[in-house]
Amino acid sequence: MADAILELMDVTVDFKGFLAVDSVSLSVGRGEVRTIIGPNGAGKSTLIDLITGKTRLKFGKIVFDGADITLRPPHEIAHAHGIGRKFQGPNTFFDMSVFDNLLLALRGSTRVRKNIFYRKTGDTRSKINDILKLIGLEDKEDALVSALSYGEKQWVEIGMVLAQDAKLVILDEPTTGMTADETYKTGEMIRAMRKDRTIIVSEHDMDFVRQVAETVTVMNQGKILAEGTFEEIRQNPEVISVYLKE
Amino acid sequence: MKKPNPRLKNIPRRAAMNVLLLTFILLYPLTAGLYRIDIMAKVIPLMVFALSVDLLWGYTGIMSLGQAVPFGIGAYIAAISNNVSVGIPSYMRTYGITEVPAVFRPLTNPYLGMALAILIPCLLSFVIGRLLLTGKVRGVFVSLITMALSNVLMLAVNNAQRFTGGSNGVNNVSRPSLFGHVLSITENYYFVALIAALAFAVCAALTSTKLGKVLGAIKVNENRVAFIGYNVTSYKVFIYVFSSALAAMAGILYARTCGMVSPSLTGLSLSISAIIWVAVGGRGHLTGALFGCLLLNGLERIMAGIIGDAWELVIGVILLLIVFCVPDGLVGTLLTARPKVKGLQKKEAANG
Repeated sequence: MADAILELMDVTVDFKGFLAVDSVSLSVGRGEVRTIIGPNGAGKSTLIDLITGKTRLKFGKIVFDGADITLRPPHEIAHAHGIGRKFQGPNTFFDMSVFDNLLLALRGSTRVRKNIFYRKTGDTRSKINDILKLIGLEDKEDALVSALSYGEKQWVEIGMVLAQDAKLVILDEPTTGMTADETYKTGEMIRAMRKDRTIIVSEHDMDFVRQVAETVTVMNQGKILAEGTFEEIRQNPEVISVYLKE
Repeated sequence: MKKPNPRLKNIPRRAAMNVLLLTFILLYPLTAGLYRIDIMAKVIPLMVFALSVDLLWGYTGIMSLGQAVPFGIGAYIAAISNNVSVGIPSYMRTYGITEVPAVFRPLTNPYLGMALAILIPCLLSFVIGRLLLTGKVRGVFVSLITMALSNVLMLAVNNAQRFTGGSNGVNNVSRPSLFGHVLSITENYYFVALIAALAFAVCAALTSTKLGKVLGAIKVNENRVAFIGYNVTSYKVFIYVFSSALAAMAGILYARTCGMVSPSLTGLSLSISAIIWVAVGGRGHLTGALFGCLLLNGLERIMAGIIGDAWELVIGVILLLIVFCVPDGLVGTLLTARPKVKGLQKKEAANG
């Protein structure tokens, strides 16, 4: 791909002999919405852990936006390089308000000293308002996250990733535990947030994949099985045999 | 269906408790004799110590069982500095030491001694924090390692008799002096209370900043904080060093008020006592730490006179009751009690 924002070159993750990700090469173009599907244990989450620095790779190289991010610590990948991540299942600060969750995630200085003397500005307020509108929680900014429904918690986390103002947003199974209606709304959020971002989504729900995907990558047993448009993937006999038939 | 921010609702209640506490401390000397004023002046530095434990454990979730390390080092340096600034302490003379040992020479200047009593524990905590709080060691293992440090220090203090007075400790420490005038018992009481109030104000200001929010976030979900882009280790090391400075300051006040220091000030039992004060009062409110410390120390001094060592048993029972019945602590429960909203949250959690 001519203008790739993220490139994985032959990456391998070795969990004591088990190759969770086995020499995978993957290239994601700038501004693309990429969906990664695959059965449980295919290595989707491990691949995401790898990109965001949670898991260390054994071989290979990861280049993001021209910079080598291989084996960099998570906070550096998140802040300096601009890769935001939504975890599988809501992963928020449950005893804080929705507003505070977004405030913490909002792109700004992450240095200790700066955060002692930090003051909220009108700009902060309006940025957070925009995000609250996009995730549909305008009237719940003061509610504790622990008091929200499961789907709303997922949206708070999507909002946090948005607040980070990341160049690349990775969403790990964002619709888990959502009703069909909530899943659809989430799909619309993802379409709205893609304006100036690259998005990678790992997902199980095929209706949702059809709604958001441009290119679909199928993983199985730590390897990439196929890559193509949603229609191509749906008709790929190999994919059908390992995954879609289930 | 906009819900009121429960944290905002807390503020008047917390302020009311702080005012109550402050009034009590200000008026106490009017109701008590010198002996009791002096005892209370020894409790107030322990309240500052409790604040330092609350910052670390209550706000950030780091349970250090070695918080007595900075407290004890601060206390010892202050005591030795006070001694060597007027001559050779008697415990050194029994070892035939006729001039101030080279390592203690900077302490002959009382101001430098004071500064070092805070700086050295901070430096030590910085090094320990950098090694310990990287995220590889977590939870109970942090507690175990800090506990070991506490024991190591107590052994060292016990054995370096020539320098520390061994198990006898350092005696004849004078009360603080201001402008060449050594404070009387009552003056010292108000001096210690003033410093404690300032310490509380600084802690309250610090925890209400965005940094305070980051610390709270680290407490509930350390990983998430890193993936937002914060360097969790820096924040943990910062609060570890800050709370060490606070503990060291408490140690200095304690040493100068008590007039002596002993190895137990550096040991595990003081660290654990402070954890109990904070647990009983309630974690993460500052006010809870102050109340817990005051309550248990007050009770201890009253009860120990009546039932002696059986007090230790009573404190164990109190702790168990608190942990099982009011896990948020006494003050913590008072501050956060919102029967209606709480019921609603439970219902929603069940639905969610």
